[in-house]
Amino acid sequence: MLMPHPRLRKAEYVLIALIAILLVAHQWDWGFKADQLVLGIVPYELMNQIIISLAAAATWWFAACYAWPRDLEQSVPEDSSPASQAGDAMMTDADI
Amino acid sequence: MTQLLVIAVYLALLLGLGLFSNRLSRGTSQDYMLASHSIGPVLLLLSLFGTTMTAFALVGSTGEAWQTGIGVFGMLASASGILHSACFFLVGVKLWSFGRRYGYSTQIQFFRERLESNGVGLLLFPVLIALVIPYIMLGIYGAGAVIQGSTRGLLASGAGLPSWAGAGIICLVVFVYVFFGGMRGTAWANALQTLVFMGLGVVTFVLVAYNLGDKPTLLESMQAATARLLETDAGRAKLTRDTIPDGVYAAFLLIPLSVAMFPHVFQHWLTARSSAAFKLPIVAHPIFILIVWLPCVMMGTWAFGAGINPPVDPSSGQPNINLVLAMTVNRLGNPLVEGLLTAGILAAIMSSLDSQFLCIGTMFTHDIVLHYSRRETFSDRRKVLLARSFIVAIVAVSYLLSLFPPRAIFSIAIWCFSGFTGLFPLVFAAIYWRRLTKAGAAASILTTIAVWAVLFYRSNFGLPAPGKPPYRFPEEVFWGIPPMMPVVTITVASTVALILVSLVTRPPSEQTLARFFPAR
Repeated sequence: MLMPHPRLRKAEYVLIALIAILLVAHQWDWGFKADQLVLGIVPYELMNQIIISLAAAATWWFAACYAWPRDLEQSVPEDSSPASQAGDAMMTDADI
Repeated sequence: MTQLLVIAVYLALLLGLGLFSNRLSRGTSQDYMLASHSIGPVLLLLSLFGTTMTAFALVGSTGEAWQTGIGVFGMLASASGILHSACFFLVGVKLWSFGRRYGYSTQIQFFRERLESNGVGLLLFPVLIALVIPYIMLGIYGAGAVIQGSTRGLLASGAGLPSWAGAGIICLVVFVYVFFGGMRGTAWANALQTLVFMGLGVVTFVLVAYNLGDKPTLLESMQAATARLLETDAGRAKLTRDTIPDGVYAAFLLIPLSVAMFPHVFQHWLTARSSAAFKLPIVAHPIFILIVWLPCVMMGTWAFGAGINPPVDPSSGQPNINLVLAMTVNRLGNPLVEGLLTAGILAAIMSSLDSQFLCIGTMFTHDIVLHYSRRETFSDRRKVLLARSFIVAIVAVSYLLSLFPPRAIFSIAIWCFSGFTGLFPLVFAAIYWRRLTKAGAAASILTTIAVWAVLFYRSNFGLPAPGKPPYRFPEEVFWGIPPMMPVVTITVASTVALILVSLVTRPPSEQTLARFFPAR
């Protein structure tokens, strides 16, 4: 039985599924013909890829709203970069 | 003359913006190299987009569409729409977080600490520089060629401004606003340039559609331009993706992953004010790619139907498809539009060049001088001075190199992207795989170098024989493996080396892992 990964949230599973669908759809060859045109201008194959681009934007909107990493801002206190806190000494790289 | 005037006004505008942004500088090295982590979502979107788009987005896309048809949109544009944003989301945001927490300015600093190894940094540094330099050369060389083409007739001989002079002017302008404005100037200049090349691309599209279709309304003109393609078998093929083999179409899905290892993109990520500033760039990037690429792909395809045939390039024996956009716009007979389009193309070129100059200056400053210096402290003033000195050097060296471009300069760009993609498993594993070791990382980098070098040599240094398709590996089908694009071979080999060597070597200490993999 497939167990859910303890570190992933539901929204992250949905995001992974959406990206997988996008990639499959991107590669899928529907075999559209040259004379299949939208408004007599845009070939179906191109319209298919336009829709995929818009779907990609929608997918990333979902990611930004529901699957955004939670621990990022907590880990970066206000003006926390060593350089901004301690001027030069912390940024000499000498200790890296 | 009109074209030259338009170009001159645009370049003056850029110079003014760069010098003005210098007045906003806080005078610290953090401000010079990372704009003090103060860039908000809109500016981050525009500057990141401008950095990832090159002249290829306008000139190359039109030419490729002329040659291959509308399939190039799926192969190159919509794939980038999905995967660039994926890189920003999965890699960019995480690296931003580490960069803010631990004070990084370059990728090498991150890898050194994550892998507890100076050696990995030392190994990676020349690889990154070697992959960025041809990319810079291509931009400078392309800018010289674009200015030369658009100013023809300027000189008494009927020729345009010499390529070396045009390239020199572009280098000088970019140098001035990067030198004085640093990352803040670069971000603002990129934002302006992104708006310029997006806007001018759409305007050019409308004018070209009217011209090629030659009907009273825009809709009718576009329908007429498309209908002309249906009259011949070659034209009909351009309206499908049948001209692109499935294997090549799939392989190009890997190329956009290269942005995750671009050092100049890394530096832009670190400029973000907060992680939330990434949201707009991640969501809007696919739409921006659509806005830039769709008109160019349509123009290139229509140009084929309209019988626009670029001259044959003697070095390759193939039509010089980089001339398709210029030839299509020349049909308008409007020097103002030609000048504006040239400004748009230069904007696309310069918006990548500036970030590349700045990132190399930053890398030399941090990864070499500051890291290996025995001095314990460097004043901010001295750090900025160092970065500026390296920028002077890198602009001068890049310009001189661009005067002697290799014949395969355009195909070398795709080889560079393939090299960066080969390093993608490294950055991804560094963020998401605790078991990655310094030996695994070194094996991955060395494998990328070795496989890249062998395939590049076998490809006749990026110049396939006239009439032959671009190089694939293996050359002949064996063991049931069909020929693949080099990027597939490089990436698979690099990933296998990374995993196998990491599994048999000692992982980093728990203390280091706790820093990069905090409990959720």
